[in-house]
Amino acid sequence: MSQTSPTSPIVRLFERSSSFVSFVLIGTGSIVLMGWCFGIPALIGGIFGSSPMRPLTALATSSGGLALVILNTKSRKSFWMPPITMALSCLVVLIGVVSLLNKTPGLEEFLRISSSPVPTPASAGTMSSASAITVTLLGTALLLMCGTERWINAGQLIALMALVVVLLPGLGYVYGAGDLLQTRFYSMIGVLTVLSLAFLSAGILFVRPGLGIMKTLSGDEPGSVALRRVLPVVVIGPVFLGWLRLTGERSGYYDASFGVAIMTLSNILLVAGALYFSARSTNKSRAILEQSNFELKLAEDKFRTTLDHMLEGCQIIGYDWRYLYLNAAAEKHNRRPNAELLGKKYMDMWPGIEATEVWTVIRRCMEERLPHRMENEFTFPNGSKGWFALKLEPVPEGIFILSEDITKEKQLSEELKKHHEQLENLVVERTSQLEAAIKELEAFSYSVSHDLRAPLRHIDGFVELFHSKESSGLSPAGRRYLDIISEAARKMGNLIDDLLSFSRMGRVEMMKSRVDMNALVRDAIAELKAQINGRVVHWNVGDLSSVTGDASMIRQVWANLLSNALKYSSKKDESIIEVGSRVEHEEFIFYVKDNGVGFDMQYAPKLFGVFQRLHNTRDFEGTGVGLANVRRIVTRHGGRTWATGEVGKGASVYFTVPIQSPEDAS
Amino acid sequence: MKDLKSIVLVEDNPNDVELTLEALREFNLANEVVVLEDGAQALDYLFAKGSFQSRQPGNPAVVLLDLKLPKVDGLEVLRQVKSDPSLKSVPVVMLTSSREEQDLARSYNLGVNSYVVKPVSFGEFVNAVKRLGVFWALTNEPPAGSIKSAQQ
Repeated sequence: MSQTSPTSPIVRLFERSSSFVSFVLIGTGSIVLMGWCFGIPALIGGIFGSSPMRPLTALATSSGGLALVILNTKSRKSFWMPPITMALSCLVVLIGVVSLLNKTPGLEEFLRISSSPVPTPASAGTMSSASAITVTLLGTALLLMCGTERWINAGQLIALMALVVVLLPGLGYVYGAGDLLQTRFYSMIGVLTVLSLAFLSAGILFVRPGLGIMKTLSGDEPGSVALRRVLPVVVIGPVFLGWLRLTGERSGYYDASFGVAIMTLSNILLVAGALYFSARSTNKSRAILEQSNFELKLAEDKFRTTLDHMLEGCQIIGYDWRYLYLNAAAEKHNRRPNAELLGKKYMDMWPGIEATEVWTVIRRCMEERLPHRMENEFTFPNGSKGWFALKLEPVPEGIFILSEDITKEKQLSEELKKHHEQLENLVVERTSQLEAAIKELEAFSYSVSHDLRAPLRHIDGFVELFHSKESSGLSPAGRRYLDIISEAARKMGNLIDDLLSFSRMGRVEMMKSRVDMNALVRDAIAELKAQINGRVVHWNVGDLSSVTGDASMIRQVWANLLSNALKYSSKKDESIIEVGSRVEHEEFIFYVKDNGVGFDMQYAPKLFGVFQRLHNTRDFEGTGVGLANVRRIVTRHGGRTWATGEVGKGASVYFTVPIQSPEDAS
Repeated sequence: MKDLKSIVLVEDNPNDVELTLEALREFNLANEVVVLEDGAQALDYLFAKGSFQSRQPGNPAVVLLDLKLPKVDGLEVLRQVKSDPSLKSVPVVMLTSSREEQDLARSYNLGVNSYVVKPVSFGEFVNAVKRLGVFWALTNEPPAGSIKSAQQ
């Protein structure tokens, strides 16, 4: 608050006036010097009949102006600017000191002062002592302007002093105080010199308005504002009053003592009035300030209360890494009292933090001023751990850390992960159990194929032997018994074979490819021709869609369905067998329809079961595995099977194959 | 008369042995039939070791090998026979009731000469044995004056 912002409009105004003044000074000095050089009296500044400006004063004015210009430039920090400014300042000091010692320098000779257009009094060629002192003081002040604030402060005081010294003859001119100007000290000081030196003083005072004593004048504080209001009144008012008093006195309206009384009273009124108004405006600004402070505090309190009660932890860490603010949630997150941390350095409070990732991130946020968010597992000094979601934001005070305790969520997700893994393991375990069970089944069917068939083979073999070697003495009935035994053994062999093929259909790996159904049906019908035995059979085969599947399996499906149709229509005079396909709901539907014995629909669900038969063996041979095999194969292709029929009127068997064959149907 | 090569039958089931011998007798074969009951015995005989160390030297005309055998199974016997330089030219016929495709594939991979699924019907069985295609190695028994008995 105490530091005036460099962008303050007052400061800028002061700087600009200083800059303006510096150019006026350079111009004035140069014109006067030219006047002396070329002998032009109009240019040397003998205005109002006063003494002209001395060449040395003009030189000092120009040099001072130039130094001010440099002090006002933006590049005042560049390395060659300060030396030039200092050299110019030194030149000004030198001119002042030399003039003070009343030594006529060769310069005036060089400038052909002898051909001076103006008659010069006794101290011709040199400036008055007042000018010399003022020039010395101003040179010194300029020199000090190159230094730090402390030096600038001193420089401004010296410039002020110079202003006082030079204002006295100035006022003298205003009041026509010829006597004063006749003193040796002020002799020969011209109006232009007075104005130029006053301007130079002002330029020096305003060149660094934000620093030193000028800070008070340029500031934003109520005091500074009041000072800026009162100062012109207090400076100009008495001058005007003094002139008024003198004029009245000279005109004979009143005598000197009355004049002094009037003027004193006027001054009292003026100063008192100025002070009164200044005080009033100060009070008013103070009230405004207090109000705004109050409002600011309210707003701050509101923010602070919000921060205090936020569920997220809030921490502010200053540029010096000290904790500036911590809310209640942060206390919970840090697991230590806030009082223990406030004002302490972050890294001192968390020893070893410098080795962690979170430190790297916080430090980068502090240095690069970029926001960042992360999830971090924090290890507390006591060894316990916690997960936190952190948001880091650069703020004017340093950095702001918003933390959210996500330890529970992390634990939950960890647990979920663990459960998931357990489930996965369980699935693997169960799968291997299933695989073992399947292996066992395979071994079982293998031994069925091997061991169950052996006794049958023996029955058949020995009956055969008996038949060929020992049956000569047997009765016809005895021979029939032997035939039945052989036939039974053969049937059981077929049953076992079918059962094995059924179990194999469920196990073998599917070799998927494009399957031409027309070709499969053609082949299957060709194979069946041998069984027709002169029967009349009409095959009505429509155009069939191709599918994706295991060709040898689907061949089995057609073989079973077509041989069934042929078998169950064998009692008819003419068999009519229809084969066709259509597309419905993303699947191909195939069907085989016959005009055979048909079946009762109430037994339809049994049709596709293993060893389920709807007709006795005497009428139709079969083991009851054919349709079960069809269903198993179709199911493995992702399709469905069903049948419709009516006793005596034939049956239709349907199966479907999905158009988009499932990748791993099994 | 040259020595007739023997026929080796490896079969653990006595009924199957009897039926096979009966079938072979139908052809009036003069060859000696050596019956071995398990895979270990078969290997001992074929490699002339163990209890068969002192058998007459020479390889058999054909080996009829059951797939499922005690101790060492038929596939292992087949593998050892087909990987032995002096034995691998001996024809081996797998004689088994198994229709399992993987057995078939494994037998052919090991270099079996023929693979016969024993049909349940004795007649079919006889035909299968006839089809074996190893008759060039077998000699029919002459009507009278058995060589077999002369050998014995």
